[in-house]
Amino acid sequence: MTVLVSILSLMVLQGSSFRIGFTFDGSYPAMSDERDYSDLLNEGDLDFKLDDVTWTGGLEALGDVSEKLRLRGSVSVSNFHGTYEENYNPLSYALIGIFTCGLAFLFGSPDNEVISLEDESLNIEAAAYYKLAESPAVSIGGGPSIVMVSRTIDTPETESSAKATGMGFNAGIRIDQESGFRFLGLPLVLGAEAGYRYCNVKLDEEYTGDFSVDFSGPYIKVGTYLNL
Amino acid sequence: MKRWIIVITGIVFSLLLTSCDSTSYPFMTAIDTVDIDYTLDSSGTVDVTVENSYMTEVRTLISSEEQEAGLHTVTWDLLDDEGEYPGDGLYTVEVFLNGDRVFVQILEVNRQ
Repeated sequence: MTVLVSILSLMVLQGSSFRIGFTFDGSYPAMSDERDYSDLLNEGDLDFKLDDVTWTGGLEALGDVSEKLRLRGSVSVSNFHGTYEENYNPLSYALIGIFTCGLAFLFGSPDNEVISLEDESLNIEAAAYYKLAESPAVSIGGGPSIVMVSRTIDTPETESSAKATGMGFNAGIRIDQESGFRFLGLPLVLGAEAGYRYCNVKLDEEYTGDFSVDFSGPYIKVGTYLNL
Repeated sequence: MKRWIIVITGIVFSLLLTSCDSTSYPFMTAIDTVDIDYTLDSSGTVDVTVENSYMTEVRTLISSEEQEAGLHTVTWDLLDDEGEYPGDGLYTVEVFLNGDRVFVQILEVNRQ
């Protein structure tokens, strides 16, 4: 990781091709322990629902070391959500709407989140790619990541959370293309990547047992970069 | 002025109505020793355990006990197997009959 940051810094100083931008990706995480836990709650007559997709937003730097080698460093945050909601009584909600002259309808849905589960991960990734083609630049590669995960469950009267740090890995194929647009006088580059992310971290606090937060799964990422 | 009184009265009434809305959640809240009722469809060997929200067993309430079909009650004092309070949070009391899970009771434990 330190080596990658050093190389990217050197590339900026030497005037090599260097890009920085924001990315957004969606993935289908394994979350097997969360799914087992959700099944257990459902067995207990709680209609607990888990999201299917994890959303990740991040800041990414890309740089070319040579004609064939591209490096990437990124910091991103992933989020996975589960919830048990109760609907308001429709009659109460209608009366509230009438008495507040409709103002109540302006503020969100009538659902009342009773229990919420939030899994989050902060990912620091480093990756190297081999360029297969130019314009658009197609490259394949991957690299390790440091992952800091947290899991929080909120109930009406309690909140419990646990954290852990672990290692991950990701591999993918990416396409980068000059957009032709400029922002602040700098050329904009569009990028997309599809691949697989391994990111399974076992919580290591008291009472967490073998429970792991597993963000592993296939992902699709898009990003907009400034060519510096 | 009269219109504002009506609107404010309406808002207060609405808030009262909201607070009186259904709060009968499908889980129990426990602040002290709690009794859990369960019904067995057949007799057999029963185990009852308590797991925390990380699906880690914190307490064995009944271990390999022969029980008849019918209604039973088990008591949990909110302590783990070491006699310590395992902390606030969401817990599940699970009843196993001949190794199969037949009943789950969700508990929101808030002793502190």
